[in-house]
Amino acid sequence: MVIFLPFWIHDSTDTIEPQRITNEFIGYYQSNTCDISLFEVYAKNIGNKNTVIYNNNYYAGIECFGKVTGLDKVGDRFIVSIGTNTSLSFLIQSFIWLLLIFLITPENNRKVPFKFSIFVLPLLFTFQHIAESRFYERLNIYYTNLGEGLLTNYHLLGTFFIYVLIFIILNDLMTQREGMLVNYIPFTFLFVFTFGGMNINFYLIILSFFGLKNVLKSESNVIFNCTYVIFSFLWITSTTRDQNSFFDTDKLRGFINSSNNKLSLIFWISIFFLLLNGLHYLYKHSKINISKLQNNFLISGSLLFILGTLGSTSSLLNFLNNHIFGQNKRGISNLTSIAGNTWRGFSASAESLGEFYGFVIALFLILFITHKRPITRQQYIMLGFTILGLYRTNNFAVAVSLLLIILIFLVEHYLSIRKIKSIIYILSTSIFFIATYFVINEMNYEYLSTQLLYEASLHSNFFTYTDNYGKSLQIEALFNEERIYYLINILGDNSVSTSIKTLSEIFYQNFNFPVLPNLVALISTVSLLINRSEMWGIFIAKYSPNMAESMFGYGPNQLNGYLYNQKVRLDVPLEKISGLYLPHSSILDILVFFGLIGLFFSAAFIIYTIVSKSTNPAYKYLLIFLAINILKSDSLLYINSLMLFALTFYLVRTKELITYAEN
Amino acid sequence: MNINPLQIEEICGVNPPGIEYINPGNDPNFVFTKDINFEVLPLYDVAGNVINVNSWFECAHYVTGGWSNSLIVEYFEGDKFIFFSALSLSIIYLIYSKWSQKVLT
Repeated sequence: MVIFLPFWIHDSTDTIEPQRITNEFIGYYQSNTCDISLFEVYAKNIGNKNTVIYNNNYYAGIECFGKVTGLDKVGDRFIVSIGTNTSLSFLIQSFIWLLLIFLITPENNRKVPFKFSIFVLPLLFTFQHIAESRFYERLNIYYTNLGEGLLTNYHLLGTFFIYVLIFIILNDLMTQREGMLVNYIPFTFLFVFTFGGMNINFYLIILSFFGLKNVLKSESNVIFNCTYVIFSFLWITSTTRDQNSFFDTDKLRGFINSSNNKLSLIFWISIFFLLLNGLHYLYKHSKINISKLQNNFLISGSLLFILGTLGSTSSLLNFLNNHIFGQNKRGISNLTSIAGNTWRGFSASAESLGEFYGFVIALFLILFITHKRPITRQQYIMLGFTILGLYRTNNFAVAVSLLLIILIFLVEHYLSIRKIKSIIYILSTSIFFIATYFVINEMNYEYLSTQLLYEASLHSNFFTYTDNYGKSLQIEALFNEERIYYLINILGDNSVSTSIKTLSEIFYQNFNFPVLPNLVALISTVSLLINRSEMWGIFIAKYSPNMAESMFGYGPNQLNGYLYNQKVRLDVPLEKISGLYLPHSSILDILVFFGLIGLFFSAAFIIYTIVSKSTNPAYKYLLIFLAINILKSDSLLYINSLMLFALTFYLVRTKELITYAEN
Repeated sequence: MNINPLQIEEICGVNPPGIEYINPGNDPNFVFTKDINFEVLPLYDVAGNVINVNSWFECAHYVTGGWSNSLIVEYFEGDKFIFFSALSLSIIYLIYSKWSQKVLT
């Protein structure tokens, strides 16, 4: 009812009837707005040969919810706008998702009395509407900022009370289920939970709830919290902020700052703090049931593929997928791949989806090899869909790393003689280095070592008096003459990013460590071998931090500084010039958010977890698998991928693991 | 656009002799000619916008496009609706929660 009724309600006594969508009826739909419901227009157009797409119109009023608010023809496609007012969507989606949590069997019937501290979170989340006003005023007709007063500002008061409602219900639901929630993390890829027309994700709300609990119960890590406070102080005082730059959030909606002002920075600093504390709380209170987890992964993986395919074939399902599951970007609307390769289906990112599918397969194989339990027919079918999903995302890096991880796991699991294992590893490493040597020789070291700087130069703001073609000719000539330092550090001066100048200086450093390769040459070679030289080149051209920003980053979920602080001239086809160019490596994302120091601590934590003793060492392979893949993808920018990463840490470190035998 | 002669007559009056309403289409050079015998008439749309029409033809054109001679206040105060709904639901849930707690204990 909550899902379908809003899109079905209409006045059946009126004279305004839905019509078959053709050129002739464009005017009809444009003048009769807010009268015809989505299901009416869909039913009338079953079998219509024209391509009809249903789009959200978040700016429409509540009276238009679920109804046609316009019809436009773009190329040969008819775009029907369906009113999905942001405030009402917020209320409806909250209900649907709270009901879903209600379906999880509770561990107890315990109820925690309502505490007034719970008002802190609604206040914080409502504050986002003030801090990110530029985002919200575009997407909600009722948006009014604080300038209009507070007591008569029904928009802000309404938003606040929706959050109050969410948190008081969560207080009951979560208290009864907190130990089991972790077993449902696989569904975070299916239920994306990003609110329509809003820059917030439901998982952030849930984790903030646990985060506050962690802090109030004094269960949080004091050293971590103090370090975070120091970082926060530096982000607020030392990073560059402005009122002008605005990031429409695109596929990162729900988990990224849209603005670059201090208020929005404070909001995201607080939310990220609560998020990390929430993850910490869940880790301490979770009981992982490995059998349930494995099944949930398989169910989620197969449903993702099925719903993605259905959404690609039916425009109505594509629309409903977005509303019900809270996609941060609409699912792909056809079955063909993007640019001849990836197919992201249900997900906003083919890369993160590929990693998810790879993870499901790796977990399944590891558990099968370790526990040797018979596979059921349903599991075979679900695994088939998951493999098909991985095939369609065409994620070569995932496929190769999956194969590698499973091979190493097999060697470790079945070979008990240390000597044989050592021989296999030494042999494999030698083959790898010999192959790399031949590749380097074949491709010319000069070319490999400078390609990254070359790509970065191509996208930098050089030679403004000429066009991109002229610019590329001049850059190529200077690279051929080996005058790279002159180009970047002298000609470039203040017009290019600080990172390209620093890399050029490192490349031309005076001292040289014997045996060790030059850092820039090494990164350049790796970037070419993994097909990232262009994307990382764009990153270097754009990333221009000051000293504090390079050490501590711009702050959590802050991409504005990276995206807009440095003027660049991208050397890409005209139709791609306004596209979103993310760093294409989660390492670079961490660098942008938390700087070199943050990157060092993150890497140290991952390495420590991998090398330290664990009661569940088999799951370390999953952690290595994810760590390898995030090197070349932006997956950590998506909250579901971040939670998958956290779950892997839990698996490696937890002592509360319910295995098959105990089940 | 559906031309409704009865509605046009009701709002704009009877058409002057020799003038019939024909949709001018999307002609960018089309200009409405002022009729000195036509009393200026204000028309309103659903959003509350107002326009003064200077001829029967112009009036007929706007009426066909959905404008009317009476200000239809159809503006739904959605922000108030959301606020009162969320507030009432929160109170109802809190009462239910307290009651169920009592029942459990």
